[in-house]
Amino acid sequence: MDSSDLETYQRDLRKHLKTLAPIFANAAAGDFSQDVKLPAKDNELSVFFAGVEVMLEAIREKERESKEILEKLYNVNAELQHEKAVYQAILSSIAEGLVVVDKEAHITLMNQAAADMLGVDGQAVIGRNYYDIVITKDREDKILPVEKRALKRALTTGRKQIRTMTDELQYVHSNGTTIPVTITASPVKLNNQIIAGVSTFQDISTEKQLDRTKSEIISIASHQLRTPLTAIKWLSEQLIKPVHKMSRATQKLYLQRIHASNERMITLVNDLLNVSRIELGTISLSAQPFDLPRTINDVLNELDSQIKLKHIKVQKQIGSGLDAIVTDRRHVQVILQNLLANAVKYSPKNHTVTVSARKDGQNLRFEIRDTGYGIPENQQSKIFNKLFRADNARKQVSDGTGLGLYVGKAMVDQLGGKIWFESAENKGTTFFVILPLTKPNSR
Amino acid sequence: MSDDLAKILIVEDDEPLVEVLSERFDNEGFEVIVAKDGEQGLKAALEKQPDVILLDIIMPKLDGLTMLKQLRAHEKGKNIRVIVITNLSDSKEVHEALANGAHDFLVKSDWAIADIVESVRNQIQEMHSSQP
Repeated sequence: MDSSDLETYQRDLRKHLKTLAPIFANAAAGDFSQDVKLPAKDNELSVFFAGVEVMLEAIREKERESKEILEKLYNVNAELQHEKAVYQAILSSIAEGLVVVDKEAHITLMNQAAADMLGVDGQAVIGRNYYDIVITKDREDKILPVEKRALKRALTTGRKQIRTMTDELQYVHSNGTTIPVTITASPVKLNNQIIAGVSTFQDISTEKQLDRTKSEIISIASHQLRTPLTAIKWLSEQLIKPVHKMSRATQKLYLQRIHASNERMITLVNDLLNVSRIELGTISLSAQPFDLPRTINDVLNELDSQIKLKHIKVQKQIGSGLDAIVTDRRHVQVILQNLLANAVKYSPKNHTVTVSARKDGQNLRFEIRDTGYGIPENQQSKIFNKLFRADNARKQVSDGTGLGLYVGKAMVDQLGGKIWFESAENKGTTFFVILPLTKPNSR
Repeated sequence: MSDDLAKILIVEDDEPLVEVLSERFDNEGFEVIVAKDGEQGLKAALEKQPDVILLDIIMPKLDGLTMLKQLRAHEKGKNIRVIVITNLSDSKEVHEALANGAHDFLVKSDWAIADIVESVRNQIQEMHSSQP
């Protein structure tokens, strides 16, 4: 080459190398997008430039691949996050308490229900010792030692542990109160090794209340039934094998007593049946025209022996146009039976009971008044509660189920009516009932 | 001493039961005193000093177990033989009755009247045999 060719070559080289500077600078900054401009002449320079372009293209391809992988990762992560959110939502919606622990009983997860029931922060307890956070008390209110805990036994023995209502266990809320619970504790196994534990539990306060109510009804029933049963037993024993000969009058009296005891049992059984019908929601309504004054008389006749025994004066104030009222006769009868029986029962001897009935627009209005023991003001709000009897009632009259007004009110409610009362202790009580009447001939 | 002079106090609020018990014990030759509630019962027990008391638990004004406690607190009521008759059969009530000095506890609906009379007679016999 001569000197002019060399100069040209040098000029060319410098010119083309200059174009590479920005490309390398960009590449250093992570931008591989710029194309290399190939020199026109086909020489070692152009080979070099072609090589750079090939290298850049290879890098760009790797970049594209990386981007694809990253996108896939983002998508997979988004899916996992979604699934996680779904599971969190499922856990939160579970009404049962759920706690997951590792094999050393450190809490790894607690759902919202568990946190609420225990009064703790479901996130803050993670990592804590389960037996410090979840505290169990037995039926005597003594704290259960760790060895007896269901979860401990599940983790130790590798077998599921179940604690039912009869175990009578309670969990302690952070505020000190307790809730009755049923518990299931299960070990989590992988390849036959215990790797974790799961405890689920349920607040059974409602079930326990129901159980107590049922037991109460049964014990009241058996006690209340035994009294008339005893009377019938002894009275009939006397009639069958008297020690001395009995006069006809005494025999008749005994038979009347047997009859009255039997009536008492019938009333009790009816009350109990009504209560369970109310609880199970199986009462049916049927509206038919019937004679109200006659029904009132029927109810008063049933109470005749009590009325005569206590020399109660009964005053009736029955309005006109009531001999073909349309509503459920059975319901009205039960309401009257309960209110009138109470009026007679809680009146001292020689007092008066007034029953009035009249039409009030489209409604039927009853008032049943007595001048007896009354309901003390501080007990009035509970008077319609099942099994409730006011203290003065209990003291004065030992026989009573506490079911009459509960049943009566339920009957009034089912007819779409209203029942209320006015009362003062030792002055007397007046019960008011309003029942809507259907027009006759309308179905 | 023959039964004819034996005094029995029946403390029971249920009318038909009181009547049939009184009638029977009267026919069996007892002197019968009746009380309709724990208040009357306590008064009658201390005043009349019966040989045996048949005592119901569920009664108005003053219940049987409370009456029994109050009776035993009295000098004149400490040693009277008491048979608790009731239709409650929970062991809690049985324990309380026996702890307060009842000599026996009967569930009414389980016993015929004749057996109650027998039970009362036994108490009187025991009382006589334990007297010096």
